[in-house]
Amino acid sequence: MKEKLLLVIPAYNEEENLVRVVDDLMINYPEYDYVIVNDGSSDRTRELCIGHHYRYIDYPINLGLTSAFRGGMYYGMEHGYDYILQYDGDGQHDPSYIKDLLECAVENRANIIVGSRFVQKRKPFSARMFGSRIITNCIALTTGRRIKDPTSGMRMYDRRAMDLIAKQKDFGPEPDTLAYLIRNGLEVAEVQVEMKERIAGTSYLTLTNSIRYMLHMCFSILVVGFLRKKER
Amino acid sequence: MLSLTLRILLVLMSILTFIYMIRKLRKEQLQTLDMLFWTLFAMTILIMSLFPEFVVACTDYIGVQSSVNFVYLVIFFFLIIRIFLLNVRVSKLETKLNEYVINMAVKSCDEKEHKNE
Repeated sequence: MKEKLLLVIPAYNEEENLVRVVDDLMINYPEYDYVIVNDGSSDRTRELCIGHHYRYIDYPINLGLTSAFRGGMYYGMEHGYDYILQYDGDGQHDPSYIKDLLECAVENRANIIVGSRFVQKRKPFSARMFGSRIITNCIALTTGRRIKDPTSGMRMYDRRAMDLIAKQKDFGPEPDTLAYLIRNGLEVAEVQVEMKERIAGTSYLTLTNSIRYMLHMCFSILVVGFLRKKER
Repeated sequence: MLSLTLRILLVLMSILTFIYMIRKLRKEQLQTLDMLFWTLFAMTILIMSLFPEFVVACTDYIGVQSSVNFVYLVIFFFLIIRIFLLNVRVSKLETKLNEYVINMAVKSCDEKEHKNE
């Protein structure tokens, strides 16, 4: 039985990376369907999608990663996909690992597969990874599960995960969502992957943003997650 | 000095605020970030009512005439911040809404023209 997988590619101002990333998928990995979600880009992202005849969802205004991801997810649910995989439009994800995630999903019957940089490799003791460590510990504290790369954007969700995420309107592809889903009975597995550094364009993570993000995540995982309605 | 009645009132206020927020969160009418703010607010009120010595110390240090006034000051401070942040969010929403309406209207006009051709 062939599993239907959809790659959800959120894209905000990725004109420098988009063509390279999507052409790579179309030429080398045509077995995977994809949909780009243009999150109200102010650059030529939308024009590139039209010009290259990519499959894309077009937001007229910028709504943020959570809404971009949810759009791709709803699209996948409506078109009957078994799995969706969040695939970054900046070229940091390596498509050769997609089959590993898919294999893990089918064999382990896990609901969420995280493409993790640190399953076999050690997490470096850098400033960037400090936040990641804090989040790993918060999740471990509240769920008992040790997710080594909780901020990895390369995550695969099955139908059951999609249904739960769809119910909570403010759930995005973030670690606090992971923690909530684990505590509501979903299985999470991690698969070792490699990721590349960003080649072009700018990331939206600055120091102040990162700190705010960390505080938000910790509060959400440690407090808010317990206050929400539990799924039966 | 904070009277016992006031302290009990503050504790009640803190607990009720917290319960109300949780209900709103579960009904998806409140989001995580807002939860953070109101939790901080409830905690501050609770701390002030449980540790009146702290409030008295602050009052004397700042030079406010009565401790109760300091409690008011703190509450006003929270409210002003909240109003300002809400202002920012509403402005953003208004801009987004306008842009969205304009975008949809122009698109539908184009579609109508295509149908007529």
